[in-house]
Amino acid sequence: MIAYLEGPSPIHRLDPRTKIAWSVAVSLLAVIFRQPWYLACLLAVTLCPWCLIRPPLTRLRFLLAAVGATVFGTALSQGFFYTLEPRTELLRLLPGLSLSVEGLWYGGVVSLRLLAVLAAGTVVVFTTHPADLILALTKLGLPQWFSFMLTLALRFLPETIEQAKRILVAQQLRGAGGRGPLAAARRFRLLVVPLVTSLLRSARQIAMAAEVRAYSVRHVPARELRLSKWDWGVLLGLTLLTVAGCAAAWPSGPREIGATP
Amino acid sequence: MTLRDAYVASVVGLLALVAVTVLLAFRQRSIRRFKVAELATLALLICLLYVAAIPWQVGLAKVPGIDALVFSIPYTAVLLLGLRLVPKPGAATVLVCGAGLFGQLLGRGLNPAWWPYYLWCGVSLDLYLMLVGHALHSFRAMLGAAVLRGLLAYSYMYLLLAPVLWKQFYAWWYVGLKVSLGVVGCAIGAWLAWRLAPPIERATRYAAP
Repeated sequence: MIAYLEGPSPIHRLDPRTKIAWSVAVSLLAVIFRQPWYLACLLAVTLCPWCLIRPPLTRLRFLLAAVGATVFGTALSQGFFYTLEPRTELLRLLPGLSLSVEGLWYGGVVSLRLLAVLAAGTVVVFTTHPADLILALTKLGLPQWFSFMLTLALRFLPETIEQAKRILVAQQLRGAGGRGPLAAARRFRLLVVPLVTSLLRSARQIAMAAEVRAYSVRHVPARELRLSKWDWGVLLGLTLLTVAGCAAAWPSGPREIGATP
Repeated sequence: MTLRDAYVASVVGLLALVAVTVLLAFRQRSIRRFKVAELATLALLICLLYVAAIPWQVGLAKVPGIDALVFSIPYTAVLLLGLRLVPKPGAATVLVCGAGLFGQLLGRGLNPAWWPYYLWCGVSLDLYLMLVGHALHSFRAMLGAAVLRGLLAYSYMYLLLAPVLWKQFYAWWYVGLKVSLGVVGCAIGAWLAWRLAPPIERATRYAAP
C-alpha cells in the first residue's frame, strides 16, 4: 500500500497546503492538456520530486504495480474501444471488437495523463502525514466536525485491520476456511458482525471520552501551519506553471475529446 | 452537446439536487446536527469502507468488468449497514464523501475533480432516504438504495467522469456490462446488509460502552 514515509527531504518540509496546491495544479493541467508532448513534459515534471524523496524500492512495489496495471490496462482498453478514424486493425476478436494501432497509441497518451496525476498525488501521500493533510484541509475550509471524523477514521484504521486479522485467525481455527469466491463471501459474512460490534463499542468509548472532556467542534488545533518562504516560492512556481500550461494548451481550441490521438 | 458540456451540466445538476434535498429536509424538519457518538460511528464506518475494499484488490477484482461486481458487494454492504446504524439526513453524503476523501488521503492523492462524483452518489442516496422516510427497515427500501447507488455511481463514472477527465473511450456494450454488474454487486451487498444489520443492531443496542 501507499503510505506516509518519514524522511528529511525538502518535499517533506513543505507545508501540506503547498503540496495540496501541487496536486490540484497537476490534476488541472492533466485535464487541459491534449497533446502527447505536453503530457510527457507534465509527467517529467511530476517525477522531479521523487528524485528528492528517493524512497526505498521495497516501498515502491505497490506503486510500480499500479503503474504497470494502469499503462497495460489503459493501452489495451483504448486499443479495443478507440473509435475514431483512421483505424488500423491489429487483431479482430469479434465483429465490432478489434485491437487497433491508433487505439494502443491513444491508450499510451491517456496513460501519460493518468500517471502524471498518480505521481503528483502519491508524492503528497508519501511525504505528508495524513493528520497534517487533514489539518491543511481544515485550514482550507473543510468543516471542523468533518476533519474530526476523518482524524478518528485514521485512528481506527490500524485497530480495524488488527481486529479483522484476529477474528479471521480465530475463525480459521474454528474451521471457517476454504478457497474461492463463495468461501470468501462466507468469511466476509462471518467477519463483519463481530468486527463491527467490537469497533462500535470502541467508537462509543471514544465519543464518551470526547464528551466528558467537553469536546467542541470549534476547538483550536494543537499544531499551527505556517507557510515558509520556500512554500511561497513553490506556490509562485505552481501559479506560473499553471498559467503557462493553460496558455500553451489554449491555441489547440475547444476540440471534441479524443480528436488528437 | 459535448462531453465537457455534459460534465458542467452534471455539476449544475448536483447543485440543484443539493438544493432540493436541503429544502425537503427543511420541510420535513429533519435537519439535525450529528452528535459526537454519531460522528465516531461514521468515522468507524468510513474506515470500514476503506478496509472492506483491501482484500478484494487481488484475484477476481483484476478481471476487467468483474471488478465492478466484486468491489461493489462489500462497499454497498458496509454503506447500507452504516445508514441503518446512523439513520440521519446527510449520513449518506458524509459516508460516501468521507470514504472518498479518506481513500484519497491515504492512497491516490487529493484530486478535487472526483468530488462532484462523491457528492452525486451521496446526495442522491440522501434524497432517496428522505423519500422513503429515513428508514431502511424493509428489504425493498434497501434494495432500492443499492440499485440507485449502483446505477448512478457506474453510469456517472463510465459515461461522464472517465471520458471527460481522462478522455477515455468506452464501447456502449462495455459501459452497459459494467453498470449491470455494478448494480448486481450492489444488490448482493444490499442482501448482505439486510442479513447482517439485525444482529449488529441487537448487539450494540444492549451493550455497555
